[in-house]
Amino acid sequence: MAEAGNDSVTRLLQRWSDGDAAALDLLLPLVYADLRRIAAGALRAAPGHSTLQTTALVHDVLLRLLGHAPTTFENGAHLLNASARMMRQVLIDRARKAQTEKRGGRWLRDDFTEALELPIPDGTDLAALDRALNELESVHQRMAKVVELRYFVGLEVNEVAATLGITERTARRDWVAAREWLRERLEQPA
Amino acid sequence: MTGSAFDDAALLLLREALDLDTRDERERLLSERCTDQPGLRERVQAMLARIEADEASSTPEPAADPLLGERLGPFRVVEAIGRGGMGRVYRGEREGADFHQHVAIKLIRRGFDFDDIRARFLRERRILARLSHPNLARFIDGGVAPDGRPWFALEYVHGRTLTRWCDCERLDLRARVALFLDVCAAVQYAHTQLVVHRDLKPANVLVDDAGRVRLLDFGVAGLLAGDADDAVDPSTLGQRHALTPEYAAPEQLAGEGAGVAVDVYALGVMLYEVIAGVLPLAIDRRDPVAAARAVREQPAQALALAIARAGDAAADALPQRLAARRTTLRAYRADTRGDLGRIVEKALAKEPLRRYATAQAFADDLARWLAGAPVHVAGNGTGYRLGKFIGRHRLALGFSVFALAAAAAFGAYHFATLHAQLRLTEAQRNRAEASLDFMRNLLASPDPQMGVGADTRLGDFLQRSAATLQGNARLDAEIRAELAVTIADSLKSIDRYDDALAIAHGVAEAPASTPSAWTTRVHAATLIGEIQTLQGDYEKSLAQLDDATRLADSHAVGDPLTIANLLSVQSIAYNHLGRWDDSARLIDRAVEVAAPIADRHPEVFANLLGFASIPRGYPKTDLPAAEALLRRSLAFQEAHGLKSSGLYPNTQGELAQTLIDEGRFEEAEPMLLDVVAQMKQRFGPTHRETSFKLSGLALLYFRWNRFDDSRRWRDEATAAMRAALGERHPFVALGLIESADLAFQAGDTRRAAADAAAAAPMADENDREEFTQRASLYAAAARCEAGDPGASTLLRDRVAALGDAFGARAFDVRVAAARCLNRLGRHAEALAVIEAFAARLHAGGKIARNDYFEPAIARIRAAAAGASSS
Repeated sequence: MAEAGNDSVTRLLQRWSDGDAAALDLLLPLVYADLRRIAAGALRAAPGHSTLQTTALVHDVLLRLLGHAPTTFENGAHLLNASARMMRQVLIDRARKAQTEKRGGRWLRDDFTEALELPIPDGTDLAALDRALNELESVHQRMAKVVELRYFVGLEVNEVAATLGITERTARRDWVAAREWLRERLEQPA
Repeated sequence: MTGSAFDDAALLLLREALDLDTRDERERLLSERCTDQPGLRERVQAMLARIEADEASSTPEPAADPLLGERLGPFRVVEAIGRGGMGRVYRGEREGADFHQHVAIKLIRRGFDFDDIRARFLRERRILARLSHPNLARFIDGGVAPDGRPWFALEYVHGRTLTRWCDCERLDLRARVALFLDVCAAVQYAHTQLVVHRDLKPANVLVDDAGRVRLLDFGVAGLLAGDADDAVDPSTLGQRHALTPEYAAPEQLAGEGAGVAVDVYALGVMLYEVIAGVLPLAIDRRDPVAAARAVREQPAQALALAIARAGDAAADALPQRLAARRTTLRAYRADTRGDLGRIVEKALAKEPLRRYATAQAFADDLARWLAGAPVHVAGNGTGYRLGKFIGRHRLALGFSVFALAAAAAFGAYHFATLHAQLRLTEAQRNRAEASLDFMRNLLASPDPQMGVGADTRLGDFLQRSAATLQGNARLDAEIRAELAVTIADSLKSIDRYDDALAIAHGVAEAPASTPSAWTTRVHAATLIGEIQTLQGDYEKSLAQLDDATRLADSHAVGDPLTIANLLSVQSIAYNHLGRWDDSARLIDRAVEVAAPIADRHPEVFANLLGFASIPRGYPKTDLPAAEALLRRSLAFQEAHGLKSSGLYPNTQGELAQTLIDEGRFEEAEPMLLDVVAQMKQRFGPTHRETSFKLSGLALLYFRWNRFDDSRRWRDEATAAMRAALGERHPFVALGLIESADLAFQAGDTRRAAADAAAAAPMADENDREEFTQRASLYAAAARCEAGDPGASTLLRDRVAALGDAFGARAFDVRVAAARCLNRLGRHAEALAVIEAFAARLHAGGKIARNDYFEPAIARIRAAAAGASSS
């Protein structure tokens, strides 16, 4: 019944940096839970007790994934945006790899998003989602950001609003419109 | 217009429409914009309709946990109550006709159902199913969920964590310790069932509203023995299982050590936290390597000081902590400074062998503390004993440190070889299994005479282990011999000499045939000699060690550590007899023998180099050689990552001492100041080790004739010693004598008399006579200075009684008499008393202490001359 364990993160990080690629599959879901907690805390400007140490761990993971030094994250919003970008890339890469290898890897795609607790609908074609998001970005960049933060970090709409510095109402409308649009896009045959 | 452009236009229009609040407004917008784009209006309208439908149905956006409301076995899943890294815990309910049962249901988190995680989960379930104890959450049921994930249900404990509960209930220290005994009881019970928890921490110890302790979460628990797939493989433990580094024992972080000792350590950390409100060590989780090193090397701050540590809490944590304990800082410190602090320290020992052997033994000492009875751990430390044997201050403080460290290193070595042997070959597997079986019996036997019963002290435990070992015919004779020597070694280190001797004799005299068996014999024979030295029987010890040497020679025992150990024990015996040349010769050979394995056992080798400086440095026969050896040891330690070990500052301290003896005060001063600063940081300002180094600093300034500086450090050292060792410890007496000497040389005869008088009754056997003499000397001097003519007669008699004795003690008597005579105006007599000494000094006496003698002589002369001329 322990809290999501930083001990596990530390250990997996070690395994991962020792070259165990599978450790990342376990690591990301754990880090993501922390990331969301940090986001919630940072956006409320009320850091929790374990936030500093947890933040450091998350930074460490993202640093290795993104190649940024943790200090280059100016603030919580920057961190979250970078994370969303990173996770989108990770998920798309996994999906492509699974397709080409025809064996699906160790993870079922839906299990992974489930483990990450991301609100991407079950059965989403991630490659198609990626293409649609690219297009969305060229039409309405903010909406694309909203979706990215929502889908790939798992932020609530109010957290998205705080991250992007827009009102919650705007964020909700962006989200509703973009989701509906994406639903139609993804239902179309490619 | 392409399909894509059409889509894009639809999106922008949709978004714009959403900014309008009413359906009419939206319709108007669509009418305006869609005039020249067929189908666009319909498209956007369709999307808007779906959105409105979604909002109307008001389903919560994030997908609800599909398990909620489902049934698992007889239980309905009610709510999610916890999430570990890879597990999920739900509250479940079973509704019966006349009962309503709440359970905690644990499953693997969806998406984490890998083979290894599943195997661990199933093991936890098996382990829990076999445990039943009032302080453990009860196992109720288990099964497999529809999606294939295994689950189990435990009694639902509604409670707060141990630390929270103690603070919320504002338990005082005694109540906290009493409650903690229940935690120990649960852990001890698990151990007798061969289950090691391995992840003990406050989050896993809940206290329910009735105040009952419940131990939870056996997620990484292991079995000491049992089904093949449940058995503990220490080598993979570090990788396979999550640890909580704050509570993990040093050997656990090193990926070893899965036994009872890791739980004892974690219990120690928990008790520390419960008492002081902070952890014994600040761990940097971002850096696992640094964290492991800190746990391995950094001693815990003394409990008495820790409560004031801010940690990551608010600045006003101290008053809050004190209030939560219903105590004051003064009372808290008084409570934790003595036995309680030592008990916790023992549970937190870095080496598993030095910890309490069982949770029960730990609890027993705590119960004794609660009852106000003397605890097992207090007052008989090995350092103290060695100090008594060696008698002299400097040696006691330096030598014993080396001896202790070396003994520990050798003990660890023998455990290591034992384990290596147990794993060596296929043919030895049966032996290993038999040995495991033996350990299991030891830990689990229902027979309290044999197993860990109600009254288990470490010594008794070891003693019983040895008896059981002897009676265990299933075990290979050599494994038995190895284990027996290891046990004897442990008994020795806790001063149970007779018991250790009996066992060691048994091994040494048993027949042997293989090279490794002979190595064990030599080790046993060496141990006998070592104990005889500890008992002060040096001649007998040397004869014994000669036998051991012959044994090694005739059976070609060449194991470097065994031989180096033998040689260094011989060297120590010669040291005690003052046979410095022999001592030096033997320790040099030990260094030579150990050199090839220096990289594998760096601590042993660094210790040997330190040892080697003693027969040169202590008798001052070859101070440059002592200095070179100590510098070599320091360089070696630096090169082998031992710089943050406890050995390093001690070696620095020895080097500084040697420099003082060489009269190189300017070089010694910064080194000692640095050592003292390190000690204060590592141990706190009133720790035993710190107090020794403070004393060294006082000695430096004393020898340097900087009496004011010396006085400042001396008073700090004495206060620290009193705090660390208690009022009546022999080291405190030594400190008081040094304080008296200092006061006397600085001209404060009354202070000298008072300090010496306080020290005299505290001196232990070896020093009592000298202390008493010194007290009477300073008392006489004080009376003399107060104008009592009878005192001068007494002092003159003392000088006469000295004959031609030559040395510091004789000198002090002469100085006392001369000063007394000066005071009485009998300057010629005063000069005569002191010049007799000066003449011998200048005729080629001890040069090394000239810095001590000369200024005092000069002061007597000046006093005599000044008085005559006035």
